Amino acid sequence: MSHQLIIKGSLRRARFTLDLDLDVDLSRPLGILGATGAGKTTLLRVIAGLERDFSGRVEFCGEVWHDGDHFDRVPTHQRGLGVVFQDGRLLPGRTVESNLAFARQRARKVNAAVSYEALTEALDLNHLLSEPAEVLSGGERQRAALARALLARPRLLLLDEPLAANDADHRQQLIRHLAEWLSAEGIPLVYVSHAAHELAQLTRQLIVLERGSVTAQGETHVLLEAQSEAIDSVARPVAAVVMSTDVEHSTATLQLDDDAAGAVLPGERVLLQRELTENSGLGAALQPQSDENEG
Amino acid sequence: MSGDLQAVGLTALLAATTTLLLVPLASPLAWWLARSTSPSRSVIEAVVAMPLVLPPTVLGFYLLIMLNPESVVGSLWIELTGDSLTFSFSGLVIASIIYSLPFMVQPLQAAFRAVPDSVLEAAATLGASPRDRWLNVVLPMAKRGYLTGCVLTFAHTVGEFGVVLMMGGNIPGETRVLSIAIYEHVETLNYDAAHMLALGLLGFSFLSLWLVYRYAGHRFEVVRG
Amino acid sequence: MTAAGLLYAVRCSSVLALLHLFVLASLLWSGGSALAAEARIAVAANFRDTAEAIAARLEAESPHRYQVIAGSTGKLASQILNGAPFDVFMAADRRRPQQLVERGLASAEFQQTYAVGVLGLWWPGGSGAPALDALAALDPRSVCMANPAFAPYGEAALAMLQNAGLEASWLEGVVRVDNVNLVAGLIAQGHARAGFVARSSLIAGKRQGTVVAVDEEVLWFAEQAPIDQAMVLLARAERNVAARYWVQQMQTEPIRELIRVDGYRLPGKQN
Repeated sequence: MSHQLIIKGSLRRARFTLDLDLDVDLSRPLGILGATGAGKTTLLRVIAGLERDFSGRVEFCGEVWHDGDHFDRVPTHQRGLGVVFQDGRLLPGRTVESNLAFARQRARKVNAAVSYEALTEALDLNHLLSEPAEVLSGGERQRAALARALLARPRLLLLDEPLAANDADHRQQLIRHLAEWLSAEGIPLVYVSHAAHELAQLTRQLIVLERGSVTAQGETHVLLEAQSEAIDSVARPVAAVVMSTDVEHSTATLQLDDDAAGAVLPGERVLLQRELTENSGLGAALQPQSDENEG
Repeated sequence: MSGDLQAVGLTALLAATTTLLLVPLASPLAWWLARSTSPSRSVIEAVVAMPLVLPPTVLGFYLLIMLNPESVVGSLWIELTGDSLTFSFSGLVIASIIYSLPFMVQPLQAAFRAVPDSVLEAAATLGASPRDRWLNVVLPMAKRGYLTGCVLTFAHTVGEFGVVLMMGGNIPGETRVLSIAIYEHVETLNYDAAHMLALGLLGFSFLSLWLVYRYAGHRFEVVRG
Repeated sequence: MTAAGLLYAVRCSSVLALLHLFVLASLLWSGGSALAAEARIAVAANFRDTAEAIAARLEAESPHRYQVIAGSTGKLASQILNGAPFDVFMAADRRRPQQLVERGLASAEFQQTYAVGVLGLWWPGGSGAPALDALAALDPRSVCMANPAFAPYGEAALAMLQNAGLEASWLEGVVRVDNVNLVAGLIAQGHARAGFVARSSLIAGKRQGTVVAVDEEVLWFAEQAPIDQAMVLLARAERNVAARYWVQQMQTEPIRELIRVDGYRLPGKQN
């Protein structure tokens, strides 16, 4: 069954004009890559129906959500969305539990594969349920927001840098859980990030945005590899000396330059831009993980 | 003495009625003022704030003219009820609503403005309709604003004098409110009675303000992370 | 979802609701009932005590209830013109009741003079009997009268002063108060040295023990400035039984006696 998302139109912003002509099937998760200020969040907001001034058309699964005459043909609250905003946006003056309840009370009535308990357990929220939203750390807030979005049992999940505030350990765990849930529930996904490895693991198709325009569109693993310039501008360049490689397990031990220390966390997956050679250069090409390739 | 007690009761009834009526009247206005970007907003804000600076006798004077039995509004009222709107409790309620309007609108406006758009957007994405957002996101966040508005409106209406003097008169059980009763006692050199009422009002005003500051004052919470 | 909103609204108004109940209770206790057959009598300030006495008398003799509201004649007339809910108007002049009749706000049927008031100059502690021209020696701010703008006793007082030849600039400085009743009180309390009082005020004050006036201290103007006090039944009370009863009783002997005893002269009997 196709989950066609069609966006055709434009929106003027201070620093750029968002200009879109998209027609994608969200049966395969879609990622949006771009530098800060490229318009990724704005694009997400247009899909969510939060930008009244967007002149154009937004359609999902054949439903017209937004067209020239009626920006609110289907208003935001009726689109069946699950949204995680960059800043979390938990409802103030309420506990975490109350925030989750807010979503559950308005959720679509569908049978969900992932239960409330499984979510709060996996997202490490059980000890936070009775805490007021205001006292949560950034990472905790994002995880609560993620649980909340999923509990709304959405037809379409829109995630805007949902893992950025979490530390590296949590992040990898969360990516794994997310991947699991997405395939279990089969929810169409639009995932905004500037972290290539997140996109690599969670999306199959990718759009690259630059100053409001789509400069590339295609399969995630192809684009990530081919769009080295784009990645240059978004990934953190790291200078390193290869200490050892293990081709069988597709891992390498690198010693980072002083400049680079702290830019990459131990255990973090990185995307290499050149071939790996032992000791001095780079010896083996490591590709981002995808279904088609094996390590 | 029973006359004074009647004045207390009448004053409380007037203040309570005014406050209860102003809550639904002021809420949409305050909401619009909090979120509108229209150029007419400053005009409306000025009009709403006028009772703060206008001499009450001016307000009372124009109300006397507008609610007079010979005016459009006044004669309509007489046809409907048989009684004049001026020098009546109903007329005082109308006057008090206008006179105390800013005391309800302004705290509400501030409370509504403090509700971030981002939160309302998030609620919308969770499936909350505009009415749902109003009831379950905005109202709980505006609780303190409502408390402040109600207490201030009530206390302010209790202290009304100039307006009542102009178009309310001094009719026991109808328009003889506390401030008028005090004035009457002083006029008739009945200082003891005047003292009792005045001290009582003084204490009441202080109590109301203390309540507002104690329970609705800002508490700053440090948000970690 | 809306339960939270409702609960919140209930909490908000519960305090006010309690207040409402208290208020209702106190209103009922103090007898502010609008259901009994009753009339509101607006009376000139000088006549207040007498009116209260008449009301007490009539309430004892009949099932009717009366509410007396006192003020200066001009103010009351102005309020009536603006819709004040009075049923009978007892002024301290004839002009204003006449105005109301002409405007259709009162019926001519019961228009009558009910009392003739007596104006006097009260000057305690003055040397010898009070005299109008001797007032010129005083600072006008220590002399007091009702405001001629809306109090007939004040009008008469001003006329007496002008006829006695006192200068306009001096007259401007005389203290004007809201109604003639206040004059006696001010002099008794020492706020003013002399002033123009109504005989009824002195008598009422003597009864209460708040005002003590010795005969020698007062110069009466019974002949020079009689204050004809007229009354009317207001249009809105045409069918008010209590109000009609009141105006009818004004010409009966017991009521006229009450009026006389309070310091008024009586007009000839009218029908």
